[in-house]
Amino acid sequence: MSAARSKSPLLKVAHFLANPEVFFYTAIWLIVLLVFGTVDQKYIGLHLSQEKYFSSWFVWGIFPGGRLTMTVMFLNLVCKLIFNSPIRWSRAGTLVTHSGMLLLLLGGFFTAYFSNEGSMPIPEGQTSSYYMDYHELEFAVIDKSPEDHDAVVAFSQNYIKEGSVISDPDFPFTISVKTFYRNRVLVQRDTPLTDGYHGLAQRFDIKTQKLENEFERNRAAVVLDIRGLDDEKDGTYALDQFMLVPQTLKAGGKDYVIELRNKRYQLPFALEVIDFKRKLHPGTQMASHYSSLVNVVDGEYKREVLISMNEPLRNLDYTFYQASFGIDDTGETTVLAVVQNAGRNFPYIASVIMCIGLLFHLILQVPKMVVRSKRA
Amino acid sequence: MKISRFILFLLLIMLPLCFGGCSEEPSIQKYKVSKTPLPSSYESGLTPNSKGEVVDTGLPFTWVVPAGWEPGKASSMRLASYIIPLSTGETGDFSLVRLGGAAGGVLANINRWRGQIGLADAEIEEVAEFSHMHTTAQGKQFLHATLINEANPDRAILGAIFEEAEFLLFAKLNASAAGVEEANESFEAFCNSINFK
Repeated sequence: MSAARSKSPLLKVAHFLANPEVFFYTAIWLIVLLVFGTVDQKYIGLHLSQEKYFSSWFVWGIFPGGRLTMTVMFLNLVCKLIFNSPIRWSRAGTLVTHSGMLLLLLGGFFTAYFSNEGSMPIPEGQTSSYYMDYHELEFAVIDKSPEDHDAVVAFSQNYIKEGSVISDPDFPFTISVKTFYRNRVLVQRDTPLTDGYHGLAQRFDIKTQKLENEFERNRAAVVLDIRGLDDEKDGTYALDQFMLVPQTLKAGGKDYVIELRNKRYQLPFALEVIDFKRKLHPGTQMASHYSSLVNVVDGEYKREVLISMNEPLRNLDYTFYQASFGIDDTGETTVLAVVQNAGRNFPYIASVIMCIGLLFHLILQVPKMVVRSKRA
Repeated sequence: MKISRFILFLLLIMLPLCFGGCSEEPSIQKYKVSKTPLPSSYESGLTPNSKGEVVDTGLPFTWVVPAGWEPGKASSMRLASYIIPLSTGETGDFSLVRLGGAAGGVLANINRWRGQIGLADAEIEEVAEFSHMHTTAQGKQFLHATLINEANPDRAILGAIFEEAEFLLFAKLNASAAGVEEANESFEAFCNSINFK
């Protein structure tokens, strides 16, 4: 081992990374990030704070962000476990504890990259099979011409940026993104622009404004140049994230709808809201309790479940919480918060492994303690 | 032993790197969404489409559907529902709803509409600034309100409230500011046509 240590640069790095001091300093740095992230949350909001301090590789330009710090911590544990932990019976507890910690960090990576969160509003009596991301956007081109379905082509948020070109063989026009606004204000034009301007762009000028602390309150908009439409309708269009009525286009004799919207995640099953109930605190309009009776519809199979404030529905990798509701003259709408996290069991398993490891370590120390006490 | 350790090391450190590599790529998703089946209330003809003719659904009032209006999204709350195609490319959403008793009062309902388009509540003395009383062909008075969110002009409402002894009748049209301006004439035509039996 010592020969390899002196020859291979990779092994030298591995042994350096295996130093327990690396874990010590990264753990302290994580605490620093946690403090700054928590304080800054007041000024920039929860989402941006999370992005800036914990989901980033670097913070303040050159300092390691949460993601880099945890990656170094992970490498430290891997190197320590593999290159600097002699496999001996007396160290079994430590090895098991380290493995548990590694699993916890792996679960963290898994959750960071593969979990999704969003909301799912469903009017009473209706069925839905998708939920919407709280923050991430998408650009959707929907072919409405098929009789029995809508054909959706959804472009991820990376496409919604200045200079980006959106095209696909499934639709005969090309969309160029002229300007993207993450938070916009619409200003009505004194006189509508008619020459090459259509829809919202004809009547409204769009200006950018400061991002809101509560990120969900930002209203995105995009100005587009669209070519290849029927009836000389090529020109400048604008889309707003919360357009009451989506922009329709005609191309190749077909009707299309284009939308700038919160990213939608399709579920492998559907939820049908049978009944939404709420109880109010006496004499007030404040809800004391609300619940949704839903059918989980999976093909021909239906399962009735009651989702209430403290009793979520868990199905496959998805958890549905009763989050909110809305009432207007179209009826009642339940709003469920949806969390999809394939790695949700990692923390539980890792905690159990770490507990077993520590317990084992303590038990293995007992004979040594007995010997020491006899000597004393 | 050394080689197996090294392979294990590589495998473990590759895992988070793989995660990082597969998350930020631009992606295009294609899928099909079934067109929503029509609710049973629609199929039973709750929202008739007899343009220009008096519509009598057994309710204590009748109405006439203006030209160009199409049957819209039905729900258990809506007595009638229409979509109104507009020249701007958008469509307006019209609903007719009846609520028993005073239903919280006219002001509370106007403020509920204002809240739906992001406007602050209005005081009773401010109501005249965006509404006026109108008289139907039958001679019935109703309140006609035009609510526009100047800061967000794609959200606007035309509303009409008829006060009857046992219920309030609400006609509401959702569209953009330009949309409600364009649809105002046909909206008034609908309200004027309401005839209490």
